[in-house]
Amino acid sequence: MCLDSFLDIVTNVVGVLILVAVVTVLGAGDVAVSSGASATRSVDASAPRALFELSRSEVFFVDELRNGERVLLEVQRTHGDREISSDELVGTLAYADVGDRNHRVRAEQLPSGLAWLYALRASAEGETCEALVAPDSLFREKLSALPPGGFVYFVVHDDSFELFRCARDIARERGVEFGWHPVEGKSPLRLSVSGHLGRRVQ
Amino acid sequence: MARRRSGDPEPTLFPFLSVLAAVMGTLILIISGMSQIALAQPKPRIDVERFHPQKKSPIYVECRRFGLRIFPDEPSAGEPVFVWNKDIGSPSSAWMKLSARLELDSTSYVMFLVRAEGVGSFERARDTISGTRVEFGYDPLFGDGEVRFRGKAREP
Repeated sequence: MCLDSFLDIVTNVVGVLILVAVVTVLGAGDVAVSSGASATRSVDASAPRALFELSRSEVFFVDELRNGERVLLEVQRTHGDREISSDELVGTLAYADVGDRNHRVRAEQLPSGLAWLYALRASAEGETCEALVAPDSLFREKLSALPPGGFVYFVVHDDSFELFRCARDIARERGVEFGWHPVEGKSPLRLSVSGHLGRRVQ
Repeated sequence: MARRRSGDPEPTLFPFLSVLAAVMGTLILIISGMSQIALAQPKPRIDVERFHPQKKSPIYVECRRFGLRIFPDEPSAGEPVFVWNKDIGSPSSAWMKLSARLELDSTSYVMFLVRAEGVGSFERARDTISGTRVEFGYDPLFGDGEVRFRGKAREP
């Protein structure tokens, strides 16, 4: 049985494989992912914003508009139509469970002014990276609903950095501007009236 | 010239083929293994923009679990300086010296590269410059690999 031609092929394949192996071993450390680092800039104060909290490796939509309305309703229910002080507001929201299925809303008096506290509920259900990719995900729905000039802002807890990459890439893909802010641990969101971090995009 | 006698046994190439096949298998294993390792732990890469006199240039500071790594103005030209978390607020630390320099130098800003485990370091460092004239930006660093800097390709 003549093996010459077969052997010729095999030796060629081995030669090529040796070449590939050498290149792979030498270049293995050079596989890199660009961070996409860029400077941040402020957006127009009136630009509409969709706010998301990334925690427990899930994305949660922070419904500022509806929760604001719920706070207003609770204040009207407990205090009528009279104007209340910020201390009364803090007290009211400390006792009443106001919010949606993801967040409970409280108020806090800071030296710089009043801040809204959005505490993530234990029962909250968000979207994972796999769910975000789906065409009918809530995240994509919110991006589509953004009017022109709108932007997305991510508050990223330290357990959800990889998820942020996923969400950021989807926003980039769709041409939506985004900003982000990292948070250590599980502390609740603080949305200060005077804060400016949440209005910077990359 | 000697001629092979018709009664001599033909040399068989099967053992050689067997060795080659084994080498092939081993090489395929090595290549796939190295590729997996490289893809699982990619090194984050920062594209550094070329110096432009009318643009502010970033000074990169990597935020890690135990402290900050301050890269030189030309990040790939030298070794970074490490500042432990406990020293971030210390006036003699490299971080505070850098922030004092940047208060007077309007041509540069701090670019924090924040790792998931370094958010605490980032917050400490940011607190020391909030309310000052030091400008800063921040970007996440994904993965565990060492950060690398590369000159940005010229834009068309």
